[in-house]
Amino acid sequence: MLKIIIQHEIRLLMRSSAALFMLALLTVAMMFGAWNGYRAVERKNTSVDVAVEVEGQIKQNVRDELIAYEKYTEERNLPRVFAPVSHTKPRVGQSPQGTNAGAVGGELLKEVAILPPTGLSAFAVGQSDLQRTYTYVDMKNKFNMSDNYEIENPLNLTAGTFDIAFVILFILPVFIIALTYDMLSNEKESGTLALAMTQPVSLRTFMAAKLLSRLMVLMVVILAMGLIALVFSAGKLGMLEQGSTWMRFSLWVAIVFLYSLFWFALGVLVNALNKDSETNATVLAGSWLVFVVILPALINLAATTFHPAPSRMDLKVAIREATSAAEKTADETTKAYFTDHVEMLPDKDSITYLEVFLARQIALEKAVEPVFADFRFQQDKQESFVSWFQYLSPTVVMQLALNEISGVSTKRYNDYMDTVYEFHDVWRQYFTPKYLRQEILESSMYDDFPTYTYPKENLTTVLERVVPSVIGLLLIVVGVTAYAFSRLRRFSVREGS
Amino acid sequence: MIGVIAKKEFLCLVRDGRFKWSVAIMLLLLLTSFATGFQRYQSLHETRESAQERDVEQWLDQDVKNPHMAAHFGNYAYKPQGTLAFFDSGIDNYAGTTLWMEAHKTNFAQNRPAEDNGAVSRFGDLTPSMILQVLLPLVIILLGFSAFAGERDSGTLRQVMSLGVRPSDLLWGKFLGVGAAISLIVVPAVVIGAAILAFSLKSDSQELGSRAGLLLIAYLIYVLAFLFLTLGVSAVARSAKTALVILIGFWAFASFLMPKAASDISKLAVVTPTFSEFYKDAKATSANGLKGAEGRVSMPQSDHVELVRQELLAQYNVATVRDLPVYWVGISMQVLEERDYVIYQKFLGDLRDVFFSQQKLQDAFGFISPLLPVRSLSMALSGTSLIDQEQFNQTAQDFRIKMITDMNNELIDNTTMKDPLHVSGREVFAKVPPYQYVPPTLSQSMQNQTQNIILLALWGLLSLLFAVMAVKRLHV
Repeated sequence: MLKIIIQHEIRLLMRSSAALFMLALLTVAMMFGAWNGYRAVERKNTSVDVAVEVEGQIKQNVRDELIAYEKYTEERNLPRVFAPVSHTKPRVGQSPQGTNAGAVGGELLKEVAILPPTGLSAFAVGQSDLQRTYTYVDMKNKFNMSDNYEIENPLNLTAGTFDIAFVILFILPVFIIALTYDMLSNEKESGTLALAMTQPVSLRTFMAAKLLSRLMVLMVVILAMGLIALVFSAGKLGMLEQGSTWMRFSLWVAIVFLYSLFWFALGVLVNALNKDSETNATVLAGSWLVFVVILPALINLAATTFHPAPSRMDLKVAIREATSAAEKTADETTKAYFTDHVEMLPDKDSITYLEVFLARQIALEKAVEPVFADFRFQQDKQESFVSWFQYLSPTVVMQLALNEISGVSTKRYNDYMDTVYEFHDVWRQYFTPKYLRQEILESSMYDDFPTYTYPKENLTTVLERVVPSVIGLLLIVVGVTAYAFSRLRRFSVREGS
Repeated sequence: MIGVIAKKEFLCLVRDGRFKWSVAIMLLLLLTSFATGFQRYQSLHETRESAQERDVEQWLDQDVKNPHMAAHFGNYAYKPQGTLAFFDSGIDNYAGTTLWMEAHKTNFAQNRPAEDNGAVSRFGDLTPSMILQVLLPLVIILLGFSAFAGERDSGTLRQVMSLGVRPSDLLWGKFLGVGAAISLIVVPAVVIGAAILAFSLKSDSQELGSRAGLLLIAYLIYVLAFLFLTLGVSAVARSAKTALVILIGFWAFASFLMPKAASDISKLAVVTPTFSEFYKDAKATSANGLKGAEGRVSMPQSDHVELVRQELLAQYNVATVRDLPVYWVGISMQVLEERDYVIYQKFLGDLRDVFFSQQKLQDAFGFISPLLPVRSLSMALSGTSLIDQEQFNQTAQDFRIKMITDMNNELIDNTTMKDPLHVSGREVFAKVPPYQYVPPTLSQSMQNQTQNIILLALWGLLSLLFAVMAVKRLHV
């Protein structure tokens, strides 16, 4: 019986121009979202590629000058010296200059530490449009590195991207509401419900069939569009063959399915209350407003009011305070030399300058670290607040999970930044001793400079972060569905009773 | 007659439980948003003021040092918010707040507040402006969709018409009735907003009153447009259910779909350069010359500097810079600073053009969504729009070049090639006047808003016309 009704319902849906129109709209929205998401990833990749190219070129130039110097000294049988590096190429007639590890690692070269996209990056822009996905690492203080500014029109950031996550979070529920709000009420209003109930079928089976038929049609569309988006975006990024891409996609399918189920269950529940179609539509539209717009905004409001992020202005003030304090401890004679232009100074003074510079960076980090740590601390507090209250709105649960699955969450970014800070130490550890011991850099050493590689991602971390959301959502769905179907027991089929 | 209809409509709405709930929720949300908006504005205002004051002290209080080194330490510009930001925070969460003005480098305003908040903040902030732009239209729809269609469904419309009531009377009566019900939400909002402005916040400009007044007018037109649209659709639709579905569909489309879609379309049409591309091009231009520019900026950098060097050598009739009586290093640094200022003004100007063309394109979609023009107008009037951000950027760049010029001149005036060592202290640093942000005037804020004013006015007028026409052909 269930199968017959499902077949019947699907046939009806496929003949309903309103339903077809909505499915077509959903298809278009998913395609537009996939395209926008892909463009966002592509833009980030362009930014990374250009940065790598520019820094690679600088490294090449510095190395070429060193090679010229090595050749020059070899030809003339001169000793190689530990020397300041010129910021500009030697002028015509000027002989090639030597080099030193402090200037090379501290001023001239930067390692571009890249956070690579995941195979599902194009599915959600998430927090990834706020900052660059690469960091310039040098010997300056670590706070410099935390400002990963990327150019973007603030107007566009405020509006947010029309990506697949937006389609799932905002638009999909609207379509589900449109497909479900009059599942029973319409049959009742047109008088066909009583007729149907004369058949050997229970109301609950009847409802389940209606539910399943709509769910099946919608999921086929979502799955098909999701697959197309995946093949398109991950294919273009060359990540389609990776197992992690498909793992992430399976998670995506599972959680989208759960989220859809929630809205279907809500539709059943509202129908079970036995009101007219108009009231059902109003109640469901109201729920959409509450779950998708008002509750997320309120949760955000509460999180940022109870655990406000510190101001970056205060951080800058603290950094400058520490810089000045370090400065004042330097002795009078060196002050006059601090022109920040090593090439202008005699060798001895330039060495003093860089030593002081490096020491100052360390002193600064020590002094400012507590202020800096407060950002992460408050962010963690906000997140743990949200992780408790997210269950008030399945849309918030869903947003956090989608960001995590697509690899655009704050947590992934923070983990990445932690590895960059670690690498920063490695970089400094490589150049500082060589510099202090006045080792002479050889051009062959350039291949051994430390390079940053993003550690291989462990998908269990993603799973760990997503599982509470999935379980929470599952419990909500099971609860709402069970309650809705139990309410159906009391549903009266005939008008006016 | 109109009065009777209005009274009936109003009473029917007020006695409905759903109405009481929605008014209560809306008022609660409005109060919350005003309170948090007010508190946030004040705390940011204090942080910013004290940071900027501290910056002046830090600048003056530097240890004695080479003036060029002082320029390296530089200054910070911290972006202040206009008073009306408590009502509409606009782009402020997503725009840079700190700008380092230092020697040699042209920086962007960094540190968007959103970076330090969790992902939930991307759902948007619950500001008074958001409530009026997004939630209030929905309340209007829910109160008004059955005005005609509901009576038609229940058959009372036929009876009313048989009494000889003029359709236009019916429209105006319903308009007044629903309008009175909505004013139960709108009037408290206006009163709270005005009270905060009048009694609690220190005004940051003379034009605050006019800005608030214009905001009121803009939102009034927006509300009226939605009200007439709702009544019109209710009169045309076959049933209340159809009216509701059409109106909610339009509302969701106009308030949620369009702003994002317009933003993405504008990004596709006008491409924003990335950080690394921007600096790669700017630095290459600095090295190779700005093509098409007048004067020496168009030359390669080395030629430019060499020309100045040759001129100086000729002027003082010496063979090498070492013999110059003036400090060549200081002069050459200043030449490069002035050169880069011109080049970066061009690049930053181009970027600004990209942002404003994107905005213009997004605004153009205002013909299918009334939210877009009202959003732009609201941000511009509240001082939280792109214009304000660009004003901040430009004043900071202007401050920067002046501060560096002062410091370089100090170096040039007091040193020679033979005796390049020089330190300055507080009295020299004090020659640089503190950075001060001057917000755009009202007329500057309204510069790009003509199209939005026209679009909003059109929405008001056309929806009124639509309602009148719809009622004229009212089918019972």
